[in-house]
Amino acid sequence: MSGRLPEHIDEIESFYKENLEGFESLPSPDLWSKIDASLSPAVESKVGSAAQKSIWKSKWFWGGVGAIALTAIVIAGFYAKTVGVRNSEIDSINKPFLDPDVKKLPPRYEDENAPSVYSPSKVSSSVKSKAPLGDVEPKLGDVKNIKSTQQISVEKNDSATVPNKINETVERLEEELKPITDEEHKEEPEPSKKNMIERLKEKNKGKNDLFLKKDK
Amino acid sequence: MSEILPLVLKSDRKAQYEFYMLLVPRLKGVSLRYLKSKEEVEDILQETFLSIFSNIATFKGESKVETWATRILINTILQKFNRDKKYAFSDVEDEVIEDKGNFSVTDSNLLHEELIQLVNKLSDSKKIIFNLYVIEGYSHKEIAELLNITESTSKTQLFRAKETLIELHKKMNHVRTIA
Repeated sequence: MSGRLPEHIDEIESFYKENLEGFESLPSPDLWSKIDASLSPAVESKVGSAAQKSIWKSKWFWGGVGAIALTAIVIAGFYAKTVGVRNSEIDSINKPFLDPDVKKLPPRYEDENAPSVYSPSKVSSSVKSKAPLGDVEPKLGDVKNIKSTQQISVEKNDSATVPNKINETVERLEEELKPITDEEHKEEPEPSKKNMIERLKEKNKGKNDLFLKKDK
Repeated sequence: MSEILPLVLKSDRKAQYEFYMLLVPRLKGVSLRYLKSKEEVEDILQETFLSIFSNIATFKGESKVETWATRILINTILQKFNRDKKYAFSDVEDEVIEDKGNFSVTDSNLLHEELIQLVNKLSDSKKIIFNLYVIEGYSHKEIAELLNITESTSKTQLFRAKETLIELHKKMNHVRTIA
């Protein structure tokens, strides 16, 4: 406290103003907890829960939730349908391979010699055994059976014990497949009308004079 | 303070606590001049801070935050007095002053509390007008409008409050010398 105590009525104002203006005192520790407890429903509800209430009460909110749920159901249904069909198709294709009953097929299907069962290795072995090299003559248009000259010559050399018939066939094929050279091509003259007439004359000499006369 | 205000506006609880810690010592000092019991002071402070946080958006920065908060506190106190009908300005007779005590002169803080106790010995009507005029700096016109009384009533009440305080000081001084 500053100054002496006021004795006059005019001094008391300044004395109290000087000493009490700006006077501070610490609060009790539990005051804030009381304010905090009172503040939670008051101030926070104004900002937070009021907005939340408006959201929960909003018809737009529930409409949005419904729309999202409906979309999810449609997508799930579409997915289940397409993927389910695809899986069933795959299962139907795989069924003979996956089905354990396939193993219980009658033994005739397991027979190696059974004609109904296709086996490329078995077929090739059976064909080889029945048709030796060069035995089958290539037919017109049968491209598969036509062999190159090199292949034939190799096979010819390798197969010393092949019958003569095969050799003859190979020789004939070589002749047929031999390319025509330019000289050979030139040796054969192109048949002209004059040559053709001379041939006909020689062929029909003495048989058809009328034709000759007419020609003259 | 200016850094905290935007967060207080957003109802940030940590900022509110910091704001409270900055203001509460001053506001408690003011409220002690009007109210006698600690319970009343705590209740008023609680009510005042709730009002401050609720109306913080109305603070436009034209005055200091402390001044604005003190006005809210005084309005709250006056509402309480009006609610409890504690003061009657028609009663202009002097109160019987009872001296309650021995005061220490060694502690300056206690001397402040002495003065506060002396002010609190006044009747409510005198105390309010004395505090508003002398400490808070209100004019008699403002006090008259605030308390819905005439200016002359305000002046008379202030004069009698000062007379009473001088008498109290004389008694207190006497008590102190005896002790």
